[in-house]
Amino acid sequence: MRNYLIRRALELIPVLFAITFVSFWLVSKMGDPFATLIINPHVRPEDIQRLRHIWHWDEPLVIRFVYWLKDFVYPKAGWGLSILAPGRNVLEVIKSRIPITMAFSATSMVLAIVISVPLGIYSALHQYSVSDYGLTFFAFFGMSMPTFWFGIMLMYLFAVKVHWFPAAGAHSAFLIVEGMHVEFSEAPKIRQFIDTAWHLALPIFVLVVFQTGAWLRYMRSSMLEVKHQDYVRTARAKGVNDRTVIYKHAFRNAIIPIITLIGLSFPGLIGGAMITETIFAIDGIGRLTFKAVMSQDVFVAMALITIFAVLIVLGNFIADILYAVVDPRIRYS
Amino acid sequence: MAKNTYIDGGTTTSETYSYWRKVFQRLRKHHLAMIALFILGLLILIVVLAKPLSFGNDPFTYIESVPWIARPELAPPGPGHPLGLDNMARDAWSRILYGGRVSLAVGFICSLVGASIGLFFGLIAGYFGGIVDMLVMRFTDFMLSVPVLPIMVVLAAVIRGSLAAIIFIISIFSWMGVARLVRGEVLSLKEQEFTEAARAIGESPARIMFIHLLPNTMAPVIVASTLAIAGNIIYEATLSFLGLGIRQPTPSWGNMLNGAQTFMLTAPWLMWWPGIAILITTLAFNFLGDGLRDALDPRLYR
Repeated sequence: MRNYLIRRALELIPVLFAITFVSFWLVSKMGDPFATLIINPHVRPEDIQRLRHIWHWDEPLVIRFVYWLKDFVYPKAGWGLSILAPGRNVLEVIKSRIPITMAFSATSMVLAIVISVPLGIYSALHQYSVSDYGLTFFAFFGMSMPTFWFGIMLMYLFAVKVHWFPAAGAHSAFLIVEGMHVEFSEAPKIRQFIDTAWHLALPIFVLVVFQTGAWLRYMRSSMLEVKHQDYVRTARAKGVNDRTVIYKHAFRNAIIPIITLIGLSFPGLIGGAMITETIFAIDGIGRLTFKAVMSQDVFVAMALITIFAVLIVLGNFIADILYAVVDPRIRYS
Repeated sequence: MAKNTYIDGGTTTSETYSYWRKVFQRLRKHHLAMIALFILGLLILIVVLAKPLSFGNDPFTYIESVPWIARPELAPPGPGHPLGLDNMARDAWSRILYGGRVSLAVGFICSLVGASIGLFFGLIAGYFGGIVDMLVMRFTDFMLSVPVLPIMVVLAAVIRGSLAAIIFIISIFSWMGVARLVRGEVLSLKEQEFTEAARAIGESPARIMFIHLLPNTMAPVIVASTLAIAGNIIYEATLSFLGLGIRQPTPSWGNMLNGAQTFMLTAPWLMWWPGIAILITTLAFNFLGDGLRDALDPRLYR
């Protein structure tokens, strides 16, 4: 097992290296990030030349990449300079965006799992019943829905037509505390939390519906498969009551593939966050990615793509490990 | 396989015929899949008949004026224009019809290209094994670890423009699943007697792979490709929505929604129908794929 893990971990390094290099090449292809600085009247052409030299942008692609990679691994210069947020380095910019994305991605994922696992089991235990068809339809709806359109429609219905939720942003600029307008950062923590939750309700809902569909289907088919296994029949035959059969014998085996899928759901989560954040104007990682790519903010885009690639690779790795941990029948060698 | 059945008829014909007939019989019992198939047929018919169905409107013409409102841009629905006019005063209904051609074509073609690439890689990896297998599977791992949507956006920003570019961008990310499936199937198929027999009479690896192994891996590939069509349609729509996919003036369901958020307050009717069209199509493909999975997999059929 340990040897297997070490070998797998070593295999990941070339994959990550390849992804970063190809992404670097592609992102560089989008255009010269320093050329956009010319719009600023305070920046002289010499300054641009100097910046280009400092960041090794006047050297061939491969050398430029090596310098970038070195700085990414040992961030002395903070992963480069951000064109969109002048004066701040990329690491700072990204760090400031992480909490909000983490908050709403993690919340939506946990909610999706908590909702879909019991529903999936129920669906499987009542196969071909009316509620099974209803849940199946709901699951397919979640999987087939273009997230961006669902987001826009929810915004239109619940923020524009009826003002139940705010249309955009991660929090209000001001909160009313004891009859006074107080800046968000100075309001009590609990009020900050409620306000943020109220703002994130719609985007979280979009992501939950999107994820629930797939989880529900997986859980249902996994449970269906287990339901007909010999050991379940044996348990029933020896007179164990239904509850125990389902929760002790069937559920524990049916959940195995689901646990491993959590690690594999990262790419979808990243894409989903990118779309929903862009639509709901939430200043998190996803929106930053889209903006960085669209405005040739090369260092920001590269740092984010690399982080995503690492997350996905780690997710796959964790899925592998979990698979062996939760299922003692699987032995890696 | 097709060639064999054509030439010598006989047992091969009746057997393959009855296999697909059984599949179809099982599919027919799957009500949701049959409804999906019907809806897809209807959709294809509608987009093929886009011209006669668009009430004499052209998706590219800017309409000078409409009688029921002062400005033709963003005009609400009215006689002759059932879904109103878009922000450039073009008929929204005819754009939905013609946009459907683009969206469906992109979905189909990307899925087809993806399946072909996946079949090829899966076959060579599974059949040759060893170093070929290692290289192909590492490359598949690499593609699976790419953050798809951000990289698609970068790619679309680099190779801006044509329909072919969009198809290329989506296709290169839709073959990995098929490759893995096919490789797995081939690994078990190549140990079976019929492969050994083919090798024994001296058939070339290419012939064994494409004539003997490929047809036997088709069932999971068909399912995966059907489901991939839905995913590809959503990818196209998302890219076009972000302004990086199909470019104006060519309509697609995605780029019709490109300005939807901006016009949400003034012309909310514009954002309903392209989205509903996408939803119906992807739902239908997902249901059909699900039905096909049940029909093609005899183990699941109880």
